[in-house]
Amino acid sequence: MRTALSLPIRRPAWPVRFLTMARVGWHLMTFNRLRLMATLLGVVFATILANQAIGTLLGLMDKFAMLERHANTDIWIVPKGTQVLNGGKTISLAAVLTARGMPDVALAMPMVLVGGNIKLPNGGAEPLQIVGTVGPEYLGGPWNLVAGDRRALAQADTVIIEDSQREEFGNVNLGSRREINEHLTTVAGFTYGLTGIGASFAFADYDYARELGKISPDQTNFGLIKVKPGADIGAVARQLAGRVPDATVLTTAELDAMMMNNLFRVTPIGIIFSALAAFGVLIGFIIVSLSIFSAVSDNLREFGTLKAVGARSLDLGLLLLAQAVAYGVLGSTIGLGVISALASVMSSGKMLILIQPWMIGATFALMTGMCCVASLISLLRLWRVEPGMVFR
Amino acid sequence: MSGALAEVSEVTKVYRTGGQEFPALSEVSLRLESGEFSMLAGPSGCGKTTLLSILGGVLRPTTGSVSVLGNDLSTMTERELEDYRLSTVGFIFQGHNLLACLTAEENVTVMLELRGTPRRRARERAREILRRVKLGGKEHKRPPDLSIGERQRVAVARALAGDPQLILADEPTASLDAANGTAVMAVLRELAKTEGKTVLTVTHDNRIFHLADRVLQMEDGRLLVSEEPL
Repeated sequence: MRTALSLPIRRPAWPVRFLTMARVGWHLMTFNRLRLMATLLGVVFATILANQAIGTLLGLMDKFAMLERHANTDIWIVPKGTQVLNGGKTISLAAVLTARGMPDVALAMPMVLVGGNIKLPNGGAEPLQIVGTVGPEYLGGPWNLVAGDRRALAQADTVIIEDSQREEFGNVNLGSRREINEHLTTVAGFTYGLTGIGASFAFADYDYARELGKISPDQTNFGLIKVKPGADIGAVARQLAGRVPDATVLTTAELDAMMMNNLFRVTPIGIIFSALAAFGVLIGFIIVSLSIFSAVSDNLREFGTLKAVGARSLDLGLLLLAQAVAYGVLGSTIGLGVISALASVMSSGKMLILIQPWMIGATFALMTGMCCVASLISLLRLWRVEPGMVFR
Repeated sequence: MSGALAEVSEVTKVYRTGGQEFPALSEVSLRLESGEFSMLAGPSGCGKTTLLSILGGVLRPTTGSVSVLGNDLSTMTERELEDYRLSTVGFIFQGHNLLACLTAEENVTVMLELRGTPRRRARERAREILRRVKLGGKEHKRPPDLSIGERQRVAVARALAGDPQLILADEPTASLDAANGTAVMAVLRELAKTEGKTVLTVTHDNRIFHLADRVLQMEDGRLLVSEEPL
């Protein structure tokens, strides 16, 4: 014998092998443009559908809890048995006054939330949810103002209403006068996107809103409390709860959790939108699986050749992994671009599709994961490729 | 010639499909010398490709032993066979089996990168080999943009990339015209004669028999003629 065989040979390190196979995988992917588009379509479709469903759900959640989330307060005093902030029940105003007497409380203000009707010039009426807060802080008061100033609520018989409802309210403008709950009221400003679930919000000075809702002066719907900087919100809430046994005291986080629990438990909204998102991912998964499997089947001879010349099944696995990552990242990027554009076009004051930053990261992770799982079936096929096939 | 590179001893190969047995090789013995340029001829289905596959480590014999550079292939694990194929064998397939999505240069580079050659060095080496098979200037063409003869020369370049001791070619001239076929065979013969590579070519093409050191004839899974190397 002439020379000794130098086995095992020194194969490159994993990152280098990955890069080599990723390069081959990328060329294989881009060589057949039609298949590339079909596979990407699956990922894009899944991205759009999942984000549209989740974004709409988040939008609905935001609308459901917008009063609580935008009130800029730390603690809520609510009537016993409250599940959502919908007014109706009242608590004693004394509860708020009790809070004011506590050392760690910086601000304690009452809020009323009453149902109302705005009379239209044509004789009809539109429903409103009237929020009454105390100036000049207007804790829980109007936000997202697009016209007017919240300080205008200090003027007698004024409200700030929702801009996206102007037409429904009979083309109201700043200074327009409309009858609300049989009180002639002046429009002093407009908010945008504060439609809530159901009727849109209108904001009024506390006493005026209480008058519109016929709530007695010693009663209120909610108490809103801001604690002093550095104070423990939970501890203050517990202390206060001990002092106002006829009401429920919740931190804002607790109230939010309770409302979300109510939304998902009592209504089918959560299930519907979660199912829609899952459906999108499932359809995308099927498209991507079939497309990758078809690509692998079409390139079986090439894969067999790579195996025949010494590539390992694991190398081919790396190739598929690289392709899956590329499909996931590319498809997510395109899909997120499309859904962001759709969200900005479709979102209005009445409807909101919320695409939040965490959804971008989650989409990349989910879609890449989906593509990797979709590649598994093809990987099994590749694993069974015999190098001897290239001689047949 | 400077000693045996490969020894095939009483190798049989039986394919089993659907409970039936199909003998492909029957007690084949063969010795291939270093620097030998030999051809394997015979009718279709006589076992030529099976013998080539066994020597290449892509098939295992049913019985008998195959030794290449002193290593018994029949006792190697799958991983060792993979390493053997990568380190020792250069394959040239009948249908060239190039990756259509890669350029000529990349087809060769991948082979080198699999062996651990750094990318820059692999590209330089790929260009060198492509020039050697008269494909200089066509490095960036993809197989569909090359003529059939050029594709087969890329396949030859890929087989040479890893500087293998044993080159196994399965009817490399089958789809080539006489001129291209002779050019490919001339490259392979030159490799054997100048670099001491052992080349075994399966062929039906009797126009090129004169280039071989010896022609091995097969029939019904048996080696009929095993002439001594010239």
